[in-house]
Amino acid sequence: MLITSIGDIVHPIGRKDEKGLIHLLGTGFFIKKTGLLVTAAHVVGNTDKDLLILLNDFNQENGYQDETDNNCVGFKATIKEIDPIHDICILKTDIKAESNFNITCSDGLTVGQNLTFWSYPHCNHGRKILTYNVAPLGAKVMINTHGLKTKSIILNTHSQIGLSGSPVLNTANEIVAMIIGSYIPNNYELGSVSVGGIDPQTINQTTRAISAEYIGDML
Amino acid sequence: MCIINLIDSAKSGDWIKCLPAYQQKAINEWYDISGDYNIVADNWQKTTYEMYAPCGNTPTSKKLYFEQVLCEIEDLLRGNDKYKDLLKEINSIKVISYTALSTLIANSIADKIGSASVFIAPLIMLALETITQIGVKAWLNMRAKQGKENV
Repeated sequence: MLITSIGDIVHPIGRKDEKGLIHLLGTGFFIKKTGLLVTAAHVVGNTDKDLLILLNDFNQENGYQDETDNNCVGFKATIKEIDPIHDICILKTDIKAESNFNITCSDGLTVGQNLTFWSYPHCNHGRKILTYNVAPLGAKVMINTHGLKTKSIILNTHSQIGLSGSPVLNTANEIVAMIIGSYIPNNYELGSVSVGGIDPQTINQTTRAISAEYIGDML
Repeated sequence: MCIINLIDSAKSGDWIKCLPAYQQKAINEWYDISGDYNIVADNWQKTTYEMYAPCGNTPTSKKLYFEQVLCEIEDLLRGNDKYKDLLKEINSIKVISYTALSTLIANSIADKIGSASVFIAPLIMLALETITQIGVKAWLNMRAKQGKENV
């Protein structure tokens, strides 16, 4: 079944705990292969135990998503492919759906152009609100990962938990990148200060997205 | 076929070729730089947890999967009881490709470690490449000696 509505394409990813409660982890999106979604590898971690794709209520008749409704429908997801270098994970579900979004890359983008992305910001607080955002492309960068250079783009928007795994779209509605986190300095020291579980160095930072070509390499 | 004979008869690169192309690419690039599969494995597991602070969250602490993988492979090659079913299955197969063998090993070890097979498979293949380079017997002797030195 071909899905074209953004509400059907972009979903929150969650995991059920031993008490049966579902914790939201980030964002994922259906691609042009039946039953497959893409998200950031760190959203999923190293195991697909109790991992779920959750439905949203974006397509309500009155146009409002109901944040008072804590019920959700989830579908089991398993890790099909994982690339920790580019922070990409492909999940497999039994949902017989594929999206109409083409996956391209960030090569053709111009610094300054506006890009859109859809995500579930602050989903770690239980918010299951599919949110639209527009951000200018601030920079195109090659990031060094132990000697391997990877293409990324930097969006001029403050990163928030829940954005990881969001598809970044150009004006032709093609997926050019996927958000994977804050863009912080290379000499960043892990865990130097933590306030409420958050390192202050990582907030008020711009947002990094990995070129979608690495998703294509995994298909 | 005996698993030890299978590993000893492998050639360099046979195990890495069992991985998906996108994983092979990164591993081969790293190996071209370092020439050492242990360094490649270290890079791989460090990259897993050196994420750029996922959207305001504090990066999680690093877990050293490679040593866990090495311990499990050592248990497997020493015929530990927890791998008796896997060893029985491998011994009963007359002809097996490295791809099929690597899948059996990766699935079994991933189950013991509690990780997805596709996540841990690169570390397992890198370990097997190292073992193939020096031979199973020599590797097990080295592990035994390291174990005594750590006591």
